[in-house]
Amino acid sequence: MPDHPATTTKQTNQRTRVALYVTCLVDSLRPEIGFACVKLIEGLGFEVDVPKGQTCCGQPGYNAGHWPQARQVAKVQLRALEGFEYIVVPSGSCAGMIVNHYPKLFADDPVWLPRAEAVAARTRELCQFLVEHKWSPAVSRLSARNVSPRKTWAYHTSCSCRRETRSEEMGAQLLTDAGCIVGHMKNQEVCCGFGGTFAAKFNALSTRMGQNKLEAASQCGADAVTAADLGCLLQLESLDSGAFEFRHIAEVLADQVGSQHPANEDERCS
Amino acid sequence: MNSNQARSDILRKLAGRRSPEPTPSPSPNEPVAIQFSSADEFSANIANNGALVTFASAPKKALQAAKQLCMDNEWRQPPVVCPALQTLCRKLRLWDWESEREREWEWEWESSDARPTGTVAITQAFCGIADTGTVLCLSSAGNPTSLNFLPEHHIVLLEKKQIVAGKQDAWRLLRNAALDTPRAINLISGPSRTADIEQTIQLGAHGPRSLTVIIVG
Amino acid sequence: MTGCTANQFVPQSETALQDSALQQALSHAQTGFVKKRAQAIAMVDDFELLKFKAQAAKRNALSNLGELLEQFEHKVIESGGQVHWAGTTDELNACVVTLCSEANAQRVIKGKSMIGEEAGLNSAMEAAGFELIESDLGEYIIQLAKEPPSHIIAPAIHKTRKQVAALFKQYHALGDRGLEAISDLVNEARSVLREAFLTADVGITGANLLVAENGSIAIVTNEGNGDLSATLPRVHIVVTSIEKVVATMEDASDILEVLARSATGQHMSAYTTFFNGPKRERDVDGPTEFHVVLLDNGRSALLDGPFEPMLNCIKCGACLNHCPVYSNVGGHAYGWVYPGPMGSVLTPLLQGLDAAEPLPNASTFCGRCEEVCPMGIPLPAMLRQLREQQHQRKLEPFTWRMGLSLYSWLSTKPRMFPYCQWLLRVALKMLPKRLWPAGRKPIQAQGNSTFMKQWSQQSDKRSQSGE
Repeated sequence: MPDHPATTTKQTNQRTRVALYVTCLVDSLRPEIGFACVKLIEGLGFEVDVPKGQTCCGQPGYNAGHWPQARQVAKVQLRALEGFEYIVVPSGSCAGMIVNHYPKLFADDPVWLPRAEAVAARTRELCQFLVEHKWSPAVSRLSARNVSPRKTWAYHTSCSCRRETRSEEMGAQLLTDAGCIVGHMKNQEVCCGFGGTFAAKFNALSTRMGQNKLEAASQCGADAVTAADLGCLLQLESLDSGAFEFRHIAEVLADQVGSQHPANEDERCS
Repeated sequence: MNSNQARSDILRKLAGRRSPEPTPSPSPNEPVAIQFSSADEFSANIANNGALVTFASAPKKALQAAKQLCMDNEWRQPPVVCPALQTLCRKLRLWDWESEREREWEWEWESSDARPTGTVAITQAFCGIADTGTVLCLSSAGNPTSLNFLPEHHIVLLEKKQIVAGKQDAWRLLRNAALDTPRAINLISGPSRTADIEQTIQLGAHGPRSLTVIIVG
Repeated sequence: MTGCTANQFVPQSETALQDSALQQALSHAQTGFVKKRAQAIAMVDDFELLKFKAQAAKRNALSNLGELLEQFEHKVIESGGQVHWAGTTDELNACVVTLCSEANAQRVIKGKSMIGEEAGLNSAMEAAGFELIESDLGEYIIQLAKEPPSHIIAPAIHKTRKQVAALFKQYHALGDRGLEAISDLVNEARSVLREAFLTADVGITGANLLVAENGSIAIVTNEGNGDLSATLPRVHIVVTSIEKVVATMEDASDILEVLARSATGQHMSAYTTFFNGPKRERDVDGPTEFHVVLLDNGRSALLDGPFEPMLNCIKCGACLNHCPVYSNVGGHAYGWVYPGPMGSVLTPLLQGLDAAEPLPNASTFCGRCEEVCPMGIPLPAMLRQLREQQHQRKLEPFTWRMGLSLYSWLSTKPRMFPYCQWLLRVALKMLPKRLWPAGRKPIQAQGNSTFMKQWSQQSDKRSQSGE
């Protein structure tokens, strides 16, 4: 599977433990996004840990008003995520849940509020983390091996990245820095229509919203769509008739620093 | 229906309010210097709202300019002039009102025909507000509100020294003038308009199709 | 409007999505409002500061609501007007009907009022035998069409010019004429309604703000219809609600600074007027009677509760204009007077949680409404709070309740969770295409196992190889 690059350089980040909170969607449906994240974070010289106790951030229940249950779910995640320097989340939505909504859930709980706030303060949406640590393809010790033909990407700024983690411009900047061609998609600030249970409860409406987004992607001349939230990507993929390739921004960036498969044994050391 | 009962019910509910926490703010009645503004900023902003602006050195010249405007636009009916400006208007003999008696400003409730639905009205503003491009008109016997709304075209005279920076300055100016609260304070920021059909802006929905401000002084 | 069909949101929204005339009308509207607002705000030095001031003015007013209303009442009486109080919409309607009867009115001209819509005032007035004519062009169009408004500031936003022309030809006996251009339509409405203004006995308007310090009411319009309604008839009746009062003219202007910019993208609407009592002794125009009817209708109950921020709403419509749901289905799908995000909060609060089950759920929580709200109302949080109340009262559909509870429970069991994921992966593979939601292609899980499983296998391998 993915390569685990050398740890000979970037000594400064050596002892900093970074937890990857992979999110339930990535974990269940698109494991390669998780490996792409590992590659990007390790590329910055960090040691990546994937805490075992993690499941789902609890957003489905929280947004449906099941708050006591959401609190139980949050406690399980907090236990798993405590003690790390950073918690990196490849999703604006799940990162936003931890950063903005966990403290709200425990607002009246003197024991859990400080714990939630401590984890919240260390949690970063992936693009935030990469920008904060000055990621660029050159930073990685892997040689850039741009094997794929040049695509034009439509970068969908998910609403969570835009309004929960405020990292939507960071994603755009990373893509550009990584040498990707990014089409200018109109109505970027408009939702793709996913919204978790919304997509199921209001299928016709969600479908129309997604189609509008795909139309905007096609108008900007893109042949592939990327975003920092897998929920949005799956929503759009389910409505696409084969016109686009859909990839998470972690995969797109990881591709830019080198191919993921097979691992380059020469660059490995122990 | 019992308004008194409803009144005491509502006020009782509001009195039971748990935690009134007013944010401290400076008292509006504190004397703060009125900030005046330039005619240029005012005219640029009100022009941006779709109004026309011209300048005149004195009220007499302003009325002459109004007359010229009517002629240029071929508004042939004599304008309806607010009572406050009528004496000057008559003195200048700009329009031949005697032959068209029915166009003279005259109010009769019983006869709706007497309402000034004529082509042009000329009125006076109390002050101008530069930052939004607004004229502020006060209703009075000398400046009836209807004249700001019924005619097809509205010409309003504004004294240059009465142009203030913002709305808050206008309220200070008004408080300083110590007038009785007028029935209507009209803040007029352009001609009447609507975008109710297909979001397309059309001037002259119910009020004047054009607004001309003559800055005097 | 009394009938609330908010529970039919799903079928109503599906109908709206298929209505090509509506879709055409909506496409005109949304981009215009959004662009104009953005331009107006870009021209202001510090819009955040203006928002801060407006919110402070409102917060002060709400923290002192009872006293300000009494002061307002006192000042209205002092200036020769009267104040009437209505706990419910029925009381408001009865009050207005009585006032019109006492004035021996026949013809009533009305400016746009959302409180009037909330109360269903038009039908109450017609039932009492008055001829009531709406004067806002949009309201007039939908009055002819016998439809409720579909937007709080642009009531006929769902109508195309062709539909308006057909209505005018049906209701105005003016013979053969073109009416192709929008200007023809506006001019025809102007002349028809001008006659109504000049002959009406009573003018009814809403109010955007009430000013306690001097008993003034502010009306903001672009057409000038509010001013004509308030000036020409013998009697002026203002129908409004208790949360609209602010302390001073200064506070009122702080709110006006954000209102038009958020609503139509103008720095100021064409006409903002502060009316104060009936005509003065020496005035030659203005009504001889001035009445203000103050409606509560559940608003006082919102104070001090989680939904108090809804009382900040100044009805600018920015949340509607920027809402991806509203902009695809329009206002009628929401089933009551107030549509869009603010409506999805207000309708359940005013009509009952069980009368509007879908509305709090009809949001993706994209957060754009909160972003554009000049009054800082946390609309998504309010919607989420309503969902919580629905959950408490067991109003959500049973399958959703159980499904989400099960998922939450599994999420607290890290050892069991992988089995649930495995089940999901298998289910996606096995699920026949026809069971997928209409219009969607099946989504497949990638690879042979979950990330966590692959990761732990690799870690094992790594530790074995002495890494």
